[in-house]
Amino acid sequence: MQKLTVVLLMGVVCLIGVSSALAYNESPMLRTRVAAGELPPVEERLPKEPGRVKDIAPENIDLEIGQYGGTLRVLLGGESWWIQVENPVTHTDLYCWPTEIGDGMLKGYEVNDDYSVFTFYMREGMRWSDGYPFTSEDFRFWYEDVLLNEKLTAVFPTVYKTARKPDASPMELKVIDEYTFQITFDGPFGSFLTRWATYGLQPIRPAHYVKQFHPGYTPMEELEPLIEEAGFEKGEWWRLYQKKISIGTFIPDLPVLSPFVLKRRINQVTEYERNPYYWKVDAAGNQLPYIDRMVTTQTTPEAGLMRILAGEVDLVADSASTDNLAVYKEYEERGGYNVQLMNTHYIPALIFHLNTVDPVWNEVVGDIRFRKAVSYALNRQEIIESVYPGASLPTWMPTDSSYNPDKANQLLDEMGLDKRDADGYRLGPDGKTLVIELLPHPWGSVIPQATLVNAMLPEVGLKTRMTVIALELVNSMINAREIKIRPMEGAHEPRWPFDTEDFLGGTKFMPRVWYAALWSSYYESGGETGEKPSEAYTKMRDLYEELQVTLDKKVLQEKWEEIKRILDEELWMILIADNTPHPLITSKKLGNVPHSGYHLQAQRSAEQMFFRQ
Amino acid sequence: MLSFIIRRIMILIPLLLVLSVISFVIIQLPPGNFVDSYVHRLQYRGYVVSEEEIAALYISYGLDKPVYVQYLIWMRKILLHGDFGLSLEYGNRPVNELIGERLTLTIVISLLSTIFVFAVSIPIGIYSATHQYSPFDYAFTFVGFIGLATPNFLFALIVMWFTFIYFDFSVVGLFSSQFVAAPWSLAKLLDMFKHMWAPMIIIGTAGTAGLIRVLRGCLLDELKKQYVITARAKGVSEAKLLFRYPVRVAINPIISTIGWMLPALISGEVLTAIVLDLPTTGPLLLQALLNQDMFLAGSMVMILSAFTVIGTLLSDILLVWVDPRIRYEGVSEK
Repeated sequence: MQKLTVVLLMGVVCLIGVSSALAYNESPMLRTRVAAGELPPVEERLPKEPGRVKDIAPENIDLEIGQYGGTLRVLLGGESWWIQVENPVTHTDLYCWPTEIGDGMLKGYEVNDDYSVFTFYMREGMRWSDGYPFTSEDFRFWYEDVLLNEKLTAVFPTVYKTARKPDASPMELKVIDEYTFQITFDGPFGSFLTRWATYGLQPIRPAHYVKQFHPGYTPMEELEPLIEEAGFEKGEWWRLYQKKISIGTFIPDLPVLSPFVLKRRINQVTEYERNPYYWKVDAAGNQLPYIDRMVTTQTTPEAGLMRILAGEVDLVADSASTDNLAVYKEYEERGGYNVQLMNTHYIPALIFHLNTVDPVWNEVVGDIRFRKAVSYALNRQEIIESVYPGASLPTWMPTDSSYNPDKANQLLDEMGLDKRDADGYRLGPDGKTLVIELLPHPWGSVIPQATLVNAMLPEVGLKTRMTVIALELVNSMINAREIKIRPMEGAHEPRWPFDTEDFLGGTKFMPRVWYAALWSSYYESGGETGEKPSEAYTKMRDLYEELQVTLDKKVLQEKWEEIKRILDEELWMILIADNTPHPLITSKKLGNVPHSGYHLQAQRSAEQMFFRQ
Repeated sequence: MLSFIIRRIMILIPLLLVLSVISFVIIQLPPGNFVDSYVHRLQYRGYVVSEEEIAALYISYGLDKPVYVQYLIWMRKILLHGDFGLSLEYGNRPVNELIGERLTLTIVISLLSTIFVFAVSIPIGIYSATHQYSPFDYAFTFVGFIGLATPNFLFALIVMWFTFIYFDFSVVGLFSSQFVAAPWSLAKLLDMFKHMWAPMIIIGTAGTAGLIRVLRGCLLDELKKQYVITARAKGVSEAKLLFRYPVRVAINPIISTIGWMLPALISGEVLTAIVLDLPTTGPLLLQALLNQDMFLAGSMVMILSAFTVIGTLLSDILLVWVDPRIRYEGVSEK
């Protein structure tokens, strides 16, 4: 009898243990809805193997188990609300920063030795925010009905062609089963994985929702009235489709996979609510996010500053700047917030434009001694103290970032610019005073930086002139190859996988770092257009192509080091500082805020933040 | 008089058409277009836009069509449906909706500021003129000039700072954070009034200085005239005299510009609204222009031009009605 009782007791204990191990916890807000029968219980809403918070490296955050509740008030700058919100707190990646891929939106992957066949495993039981399952059907739809549909995709994007060559064959997508699909290329294309992991999952839309705008699933008779309502011509369903689901369109309750779902927008205020089907849990099995609601306010700089100081916001996404650092600090206690300096990818740089329409300038800037001289003429420490407090030296491009005006003068004299005019400015090879036009990008702290550069170059005898024009005009001048030197921000040193086009001088993706339009088009067209580039440039582009095909970390590191060496030797771009800081402002009541690392990342990590009660 | 009005209205229609073309052209003038600057801003934020997305954006905004076709489509929608198009910047929301949700508040703020201006400047102006060179006259003049000299936005910043430091109250926006998205209630109304005084006074003060000086000057001119002395000699009381004759004449310049109040009512005061972050149409227009948001900017420019023209017409009619001299001199009844 006693033995039986013991066995029974043990059995009960085991059962309790097992069931509590399997039990997930959810927010009280959702628990009431489950009790009312509006939502299925949490075990059914989460995938069989839920994800974890992995986007922030452990050394950058002290992760705690949080508490449910609260409304996060986020402050946005004056621009498009969508840019700043879709990304910061609602974007989810396959990619787990900083060194691994996998265990994100997709559970995992497999790649063959050749880097040409990628098999992706999805999470069984994962659902969109309206409860509909997230399966390989969503990917099949994207591939067959969107990418391969000529009306929706006029030109097949090169990112999905083998090794990103424009004339290569496009990828093929095959569904293996409900939660597995495979992408195949006809040659090695290692960088596809990393690229797709970081940027590629954006075009994926909930197939079940989007099908209502696709004639393959909804008859045209039903679409015609919608097309007309949207103001397009009869039959132009693809315009309606793009308009309805393109980035930036405000669609409340659009099914998403992000932690918060868009609910409402009134004037400058946008409201979000937690996604009841969010697929991540914390280490104790609590479904994320902890925070129930999010409210973002779009505002102007002055009003924004006032709100921060008055303690009316909990998270400042991107609209804080180092200019106001002293003010932020002064009112930290009164406003109830913390100011932290984080790393940013907005690294200040000067870009030398090589293939311009001015032959005199091309001759001058083509000489490496000129570019080195400009680098030596910059008193970077002064720029750091005025504009980028907390930044560090030396830079990695050039590695010799010392301030040496004597050397600068020497190099300029050596290369033949030793004759001066009546005012003491150097004459160019054509005998006229060399005037260098600085055209800064009008954003961030570029203009103060450029103003200082504008004052430093004349000290080695180079006459400069700075013009500030609107962003669109800058871009059209880049296209017209009229710019000479362009101060800007954004040339961050790439981390693994080193697949960045920031330094290539001219590809169609990032016009903001174009500097060698003719060389680049020569290289890309195989010699048909443009101008033959220097050997170093060709070598660099070759190395970059080689980076595309492999995933081997050692090989990638080696190739990148070589590219870095070329960049350091040629100095087509020079950096002004490194590790420029950017303030992150969070409420004192907020927990699980990263204390170091990149501020953009910290902004996007609201899924694990919580309010201490 | 009637023929005068009818003639003016007939000219209005072709004028408005020309205005619509000009508005549209103005928006198209800067190089590039909405998608280009949109994509560049996305890239700056570290968000990579794929080629597919860029091409899709072009298609969805109809930017792949030639400019005149875009104009015709826009005009057709306005004339046939009263639909001013979709805003590119604000997530494809209808322009009508965007302007509509801000219009009421804009008009309320503008009206309150205008009432403030009149309520303050007219009495002060009259007092200044009748008690010329008295201490109060100098005091009002002094304050008036300071108000005139200080830019609106600077004044707004000072007021914002002051109330925050000494009263621990931030006057930013029209509502405190808990009321912004909440439905209308008594509490929300009270909250609005707590914030409303700031824009009213800030926008008002710039106007008062000018109006005081104008009124004072005109009135002084009138008070020196013969008929005033005659009236006094005849025993008319000072107050009755003042309001029956000189003030009526001095009001003239105010009335002739009153028509421009109409567009100002709609657009509101932009700089102050930006500093104080008011949900009015002024900042909406500014953002639309900066971002080349074609339909929103074009529509607003056109609406404002239309109201300016209509306002001027109303002003002229009002002036003719109020001032008989114009009736007899300028507008002959044929």
